[in-house]
Parts: sequence; C-alpha cells; structure tokens
Amino acid sequence: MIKIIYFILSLFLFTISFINQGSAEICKNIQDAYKDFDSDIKKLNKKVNKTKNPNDPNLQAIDEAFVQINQILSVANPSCDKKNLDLLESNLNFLSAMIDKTSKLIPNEYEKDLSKIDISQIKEVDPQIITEISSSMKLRRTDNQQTLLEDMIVLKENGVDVFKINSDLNKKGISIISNEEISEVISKNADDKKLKSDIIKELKLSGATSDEILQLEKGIQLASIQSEKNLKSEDNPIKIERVKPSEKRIDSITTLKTLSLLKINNADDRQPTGVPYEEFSKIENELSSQIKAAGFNQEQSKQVMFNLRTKYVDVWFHAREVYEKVLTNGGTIEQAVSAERDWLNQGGGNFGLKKWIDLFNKNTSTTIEQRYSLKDYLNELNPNQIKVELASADRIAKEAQARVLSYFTVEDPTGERRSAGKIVDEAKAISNKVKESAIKYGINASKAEILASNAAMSYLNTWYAGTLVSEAQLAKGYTWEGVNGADQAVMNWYNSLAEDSEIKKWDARLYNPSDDNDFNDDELDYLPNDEALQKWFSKLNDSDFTKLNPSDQRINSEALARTLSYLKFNDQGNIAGDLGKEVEEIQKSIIDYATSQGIKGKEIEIISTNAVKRYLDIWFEGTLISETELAKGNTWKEADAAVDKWANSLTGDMVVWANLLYGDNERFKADDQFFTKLSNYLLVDLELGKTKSLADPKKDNPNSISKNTWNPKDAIGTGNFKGLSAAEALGSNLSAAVKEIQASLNSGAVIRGADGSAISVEAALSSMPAGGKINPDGTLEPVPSTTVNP
Amino acid sequence: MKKLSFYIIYFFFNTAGFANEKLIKSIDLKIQELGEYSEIKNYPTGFFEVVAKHCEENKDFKCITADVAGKMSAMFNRGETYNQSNPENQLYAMALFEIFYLSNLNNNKYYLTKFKSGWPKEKEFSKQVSNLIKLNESRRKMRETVGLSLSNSPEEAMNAYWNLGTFLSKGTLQKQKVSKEYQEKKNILDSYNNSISKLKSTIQNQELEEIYDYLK
Repeated sequence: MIKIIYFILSLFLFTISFINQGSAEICKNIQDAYKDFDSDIKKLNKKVNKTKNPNDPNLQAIDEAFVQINQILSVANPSCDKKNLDLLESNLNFLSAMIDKTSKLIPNEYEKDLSKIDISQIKEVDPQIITEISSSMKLRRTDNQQTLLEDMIVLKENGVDVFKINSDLNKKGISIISNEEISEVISKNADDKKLKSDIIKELKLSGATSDEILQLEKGIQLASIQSEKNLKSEDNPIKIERVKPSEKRIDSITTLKTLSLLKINNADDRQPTGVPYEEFSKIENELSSQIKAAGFNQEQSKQVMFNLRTKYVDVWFHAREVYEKVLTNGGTIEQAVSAERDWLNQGGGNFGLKKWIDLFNKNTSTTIEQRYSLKDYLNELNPNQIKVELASADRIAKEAQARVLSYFTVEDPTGERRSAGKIVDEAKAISNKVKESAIKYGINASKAEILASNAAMSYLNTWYAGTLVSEAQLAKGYTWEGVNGADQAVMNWYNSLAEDSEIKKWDARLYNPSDDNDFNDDELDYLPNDEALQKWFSKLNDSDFTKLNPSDQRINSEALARTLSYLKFNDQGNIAGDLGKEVEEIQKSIIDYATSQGIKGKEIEIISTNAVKRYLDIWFEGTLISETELAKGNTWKEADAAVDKWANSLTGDMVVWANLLYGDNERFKADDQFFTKLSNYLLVDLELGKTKSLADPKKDNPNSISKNTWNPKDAIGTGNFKGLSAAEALGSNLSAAVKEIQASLNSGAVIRGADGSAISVEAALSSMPAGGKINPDGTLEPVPSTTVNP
Repeated sequence: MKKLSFYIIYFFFNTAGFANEKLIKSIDLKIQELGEYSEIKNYPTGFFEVVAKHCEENKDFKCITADVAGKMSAMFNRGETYNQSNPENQLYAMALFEIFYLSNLNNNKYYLTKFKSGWPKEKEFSKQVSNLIKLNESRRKMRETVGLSLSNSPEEAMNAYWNLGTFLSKGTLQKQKVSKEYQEKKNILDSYNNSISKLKSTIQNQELEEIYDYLK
C-alpha cells in the first residue's frame, strides 16, 4: 500500500514538473530580461543625473519625464505570477507612451513638410488610399489608447498616480494622453459605464478641475457624434455653408406677392386694376396732352394710350418681381429698392422693355435728355396703322392663371379641403345629370358613377383651359367683346383644337352640336343634352369606364394657389401668421442656444438662415404635395401618404434639416427632441473643425446681401453659394489623414506603430539576416555593408 | 487499487495533453494565417522605378523577387538620417517585404505541405515552418503600423505602403540644427525606449516563443 502511494506521489510530482517545465523556462526568460532591463535603467539613471540643469523649458520637461520614469517603475518587480506580469506590462505600456510623447519635444534634423502638397496633383498617389490608411490608423490608435487608459487605471490601483503624472507633464507640453483622446475612448465604449466612471474618478482624484471634467464630458459627446457621423457620413452631409433655397418656392411667392397688387374691378367685365393702373392714371393726362399735341385723333390716341398702359404695366410688373424676390429671399426693403433700380437701369432683363423704361423715366442712370421719350415713340408711329404693343407673355400667363384660380375657393366643412365655387357646382350638376341619365339608360350604378365623374372632370378641364384664354385676354386690357375680346379669343382657341382632341370628344358626348351654348348659368346650358347623352351611351365601350384624370395643368395650378393661400405677409413683406411665428421661433431657438454654448458669429447666422430656408422649403414642397392630392379630390390619408413618400425620398442636406426641424412633428416645436438634435448639429459642425467649409458670401456670390452684420430678417437667404468642391473636401480629409499618419509614424528612422511604440525593424527582420539572396531555409545572405549608405 | 492508480495516471497525463492541445491550436492558427501563395499581378505606380527595372516588361515574379530581396534589405538597413529625409524608404521596404514573404511562402511550399500532412503527430520540417511564422509575424507588425491586417491581400498592402511612401516623399525637405543637449536627451530616451521595448517584447511574445520552442 505504501509503495502504491509512493508511486502515485512520485508520478504526481513528475507530472507537475513536466507541465511547469515550459512555464518555468518562460519565467526565467522574463526574469533574465527584467534583470537586463533593470540594469539598463540604472545605467541610464546615472546618465540622466550627469546631465546639466537646462534653461530650455522643453529640456526641463524631458528631465521631468526622466524623474517620473523611476516613480512609475517603483512598483515593478520580476515576479512571474500573472497579476504581476499584467502590472509590469501596464507599467511598460505607459512608459513607452510617455517616452514616445516626450521624444516629440525633440526636433528632427530633417523633416519633410507636407503642408503644401496638393495631393490631386500627384498622379502616382490615390487620395482614397491615403484617407483609408488614415482612418484605419486612427481606429487602431483609439484601441491602443483604450489599452493605455486601462493600464493607467491598473497602475493607479497599485499606487502609481499616473493620471497626476499625465496631468503634470501635460502642463509642460508632454501629453501622454489628451482629454480629447480620453473622450474618444470613452465614447467608443459608450456602453462601458464603469470605464467612464473609473476614468472620471481618477481624473478628479488627480486634481482635474470641474471645468476640465466638463470639457471632457463635452469631448465625449463630440467624439460620439463624430463617430456616428463617420459611420453615417453618406447620410449626414451637413456643412456650414449657405444652402440654396427652393427656386420654386421663391419664384412662386415672388409672383404671388406681385400679383396681390393687381386687382379685378368687378365680376362682370373683369378689367384689371390695382397699383400699376393707379400709377398710370396719374400720368395719363400728361401723356394724353402730348399725344394730342402730336396730332393723333381720338381713336388713334386711344390705341396709343392702350399701348402705353400695357407697357407701363409690363415694366411695373417685372420690376416689382425683382423687388419682391429680394424680400422673399430675406433682403431688406432698401436692398429690394436697390435691386429694382439696378434692374431698371440695366434695361430690364430679357423682356425687351428698355425703351419703355426710358420712356416712363424709370432709368435713373441717364439724364432725361438721353432717354428714349414719348416724343421719340410718337414720331416712329404711323398714325394710320398704329402697331399694337403686345403685353409681356410672362406677365399675362401668370396673371391669367391667378385670375382663373380666383373662381375657385376651398371649402373645408368635412376637413377635406374640397374645391368649391360656381364652376365646381356646375361640374357637380353635370355629374348628377350624367349619372341619373346613365342609370335610366340601364347602366349599372358603379359604371354610371364613373361616367358621371369623368363628365364632371372633363367639364372642369375644358373650363380651365378655355377660361385661361379668356382671362389672358382680359388681363391684357381687352373687354369680352370685339375682335380682340375674350369671347372671340376663346372661340379662336376652340376652333384651333383638333377634332379628335379630348375637349372636342367630350363636347360631342355631352352636348348637341346644333346647340348654341354660351354656358350661361341662368339658362343652365352647361348641363348635358339628353339626346347627346343617349347617343354617347349607345356607343359606350370598355375604355369609357376608365376613370379620367384631372388635367395636370389645372391641378398643379390649383395646388399652388391652395398652398400659397396659407401664406400671410407683414408690412415689411416677411412671412407672418403661424408660419411666420414658427420661423421666428426657429431663429430665436438656434441663436439663443448657440449663444448659451458660446457659439456666435457668421456660423450661427448661416445656420439659422439655412434652418429657416429649409423649414420653409420643406413646408412649401410638402404642402404642395398634399394640396395636389386634395385638389384631385383625394382624401387626407392619401395626401399624407404622398407626403410621406416624398419625405422618404429626400436627399442631401434636406434629410438633415427635415429631421432637425420637423422630426416626427408636422410643424416646428422647440421641444427637448429639437434641442438634443440642435446640440448635436452645432457641436458637429462648429466644434469639429468644419468652419473651414464656411463660404465667403461676397466672394461666392456677388449678388449676395452685402451686410456687415447679420440682420435677423435675413432669414430666407439668397442662395447660389458655392459649396466646397469635392477636391476641397477631400483636401480637408487628407489634411486630417496626413496629421494622423504623422502622429503614427515617427518621422525619424524607426517606424512606429499606431500606439507610438517602435515596430522594431530589428525584430521584424530578426528572422531575416540582411542579405541579397534567399537561402533555402528562407533566410537571406547578408548584403555587403559597403552597399548600404548610412 | 490498480484501477484507481490507472485513472490517476491517465488524469495527470491528460492534463499535460491539454497544455499541448492549446499550443497546437495556436500553431494551427499561425499556419492558417500564413495564407496562400499567389503572384502579385498589379504593381503600384512607380514600383519599377525603384526596383527590378529590368523585370518591368514581362513582370516575371521570379525576376522581381530576385531583385527585391537585396534591395529590401539595403533599404531596411538605411540609417536614421537617411530615413528622416527619405520617409518613403521604409514604407517602400515594407512593400517589398510583401513580395519577399510571398517568395518565401512559395519556396517553402514543399516543406509546408509536408509539415501539414504530418502535423500534429509529426513535426517534420518544423524549422522551415517556424521561419515562415516568424516572417509572417513581422509582416503582421508592419501591416499594423498602417492600420492593415493579415486579412488584407498582399496587393492591397503593397498599394497602401507605396501610396503612403510616395505621398510622404513629395514633402519639402527641411533641415534644422538640433542642439547637443537635445541630441543627448534623445539618445537617453532612445535607450530607455529600447530597454522597455525589449522587456515588453519578451513578455508579449511568450506565446510566440512557446510556438517557436515547440517547433524547434
């Protein structure tokens, strides 16, 4: 029995010794290496002690680092237990980082200055690769910094206050790990609450002030945003540069404001009145006297006066649009007046109005004598054949559209914003009659409904197209009657239509060709003719039961009018009402918040102006889409779906602004969600060095508003500011890339890893004696030393 | 009782087996990381201006390899002053190391295949395999300096080194006088750094040393 126990015991000891043989050898290696290290450090300490006390602050800082080396090593020992090895490794990692950062105080004899390199000019270099390398290096650097921080915590727990050492050396210009780097590590490990609290606790204990801790917290937020931004760089194209507002919004509002100064005198003759006509009436007597004095008879004078009125209104209309556009873009009245004056002095753009501008003395850049005058005009005229001056086609098209839309109103008893008005009632009556007749004819109710709806739709489409013609003629100043009258113009238009046009086809379906309809509502002759209907029903085929769409022209025009009807303006021409209040609140919220964060100046002016531009752009486009659906007779549900689809298709900076200003709300709300997003937005763009992308408004757009200080009224912006070119943007990234590379590669002889520790080329080549040919075992034959220049 | 002692013996020997198993797994991984040999097809712009000019036309890998080894070694052996004023030197050398490694992998294909066929029961040609692992570890360290890993292809790595090297070479050389005091401090800092790196490397390379020992 004893023999057996003895045997087992011997076996046990043998086995243990067998297992531990390897680890013992490793421990011996480590202990030997430690012994050498300890001896080296002692020798180096002696060398350090021999150096003189320097006056140079950098040299003093380096000496201070030497002193700290020994303090850090005070807890190091060669014991092979795992805990101690971990502590020793932490020790060496921290020392390595400290020495690396200390070395940076020592200048290199040779350096390559990369600051003036334009990478786009280097054919052999792919900028994308350089940027990718830099990103990879940065990721690796953050990983190494995390290890360094963890090592620092271990060292602190073991009695070496490395946080204080870091803080003290930092004050002398040796930043072993900066607050920014600490922030990056914490934000990268956002879920590791312990890491954050441990680090902040240690920083506080090492004497960090509350302000420094606050800065660190802010840095964590910044790093976290930056990291998110890097991940979603495609989706987050925010730049601090002026955005160009939606041209459609600016032009539509400009025209709306201009047209609002034109009126229609009454429901019967619908003659144009309003500001330009009133202005013209004030000079009419003087003009009349001159015309009479030139020998024109009454009839001829009437035609001349008609021409002059037409051109006066043209000049007024287009000049006013210039003025209103500046205001719509956020300019001041002074700027608007100045822009209008410039436009007049330069001859009125491409509308061919130069001589009329002169004639009405609107060109202030020349003397009256130099200008084309009424006298010149009258001299050119042949009294027996006075040429009719055509009104500006652009003005008439806009005016006619507005006049047609004045027949429509919007009724909202059911909340569905249905189109209303006399013409809509007539369409309903037509629909009812067609439905009733169809059912009576034997067509089933659902099919009769389609026929009725199509008939009403075709009536509205035809009415819209025809009325546009008559209103254009009335806007020109003609009456209903006469060769140039509105009625004749409609007849001419109708006759010009092809026989197989949709309008004529529907005319034949609903009315008897022999009827002389003037669509007089007193006579109810707009109602379909029974005979015509019977004839139509007898020839029905499948295609007749396809639902007819409203004309795009009518719906687009109606939707635009409905959208614009929401807008209200104050005396200064700025948007008022609910939308105006929201715009003010957006500006105020952004400016107040930015000011509270210490951010001010041009960046905030641009951001708040951009915010307002985009808020209005998004509101305008979204409302136009929903009103288009409602004008078609669709429901709010369908309108909302169309808006959602559009919102999901947004691209570029619109996505960011829609998210920031609207979020999940239908309108702007200065709530917590907004301020959180705003905080991220401001921090990302202003504090992460994007200010470079600020465009100089004057440089980029000579027509931009030239104010030295920002006026809150400058809310809607002038657009046309150039963004950064792709090359510039890449240049900015590259500059960061170069910094990253330079931070990671020692510009000296030894290539260093991202953590700053040397990748020992010696170690790398340990398996490879320097040489010129490959040996069978994979090693190299040495290169003769004479071939290698030092 | 005989039965009991058998179990005890089995237990002890099996424990020793666990230690080896872990090491074998580590070696398996290292062998896997060696990768497969494939010739470089596309060389970075300007490559043949630096090395193997006479091989540019047919881009014969053997021709290039023969030139690369000597050139690379010479480049790695350049002094500090040269590297400061020619920062592309070491990066180009690292690019050449990729070719050097591939040629080693190719030259040792036979040994590696034989080793794999007998491994882990036998360790035939383990010295050659150990050398390859050492080279690959060097390759890993070099790649890590520019944020690459062993998962990147040799062509990607070469492109990265070469582009970065060419980019750095375009800077304007500036010379400045470094005072004796600074030079003295620098020497001390370098010495500290070398001592620290040596000890750190000994601790961190324990596993590798075990592998190399095992493959002796």
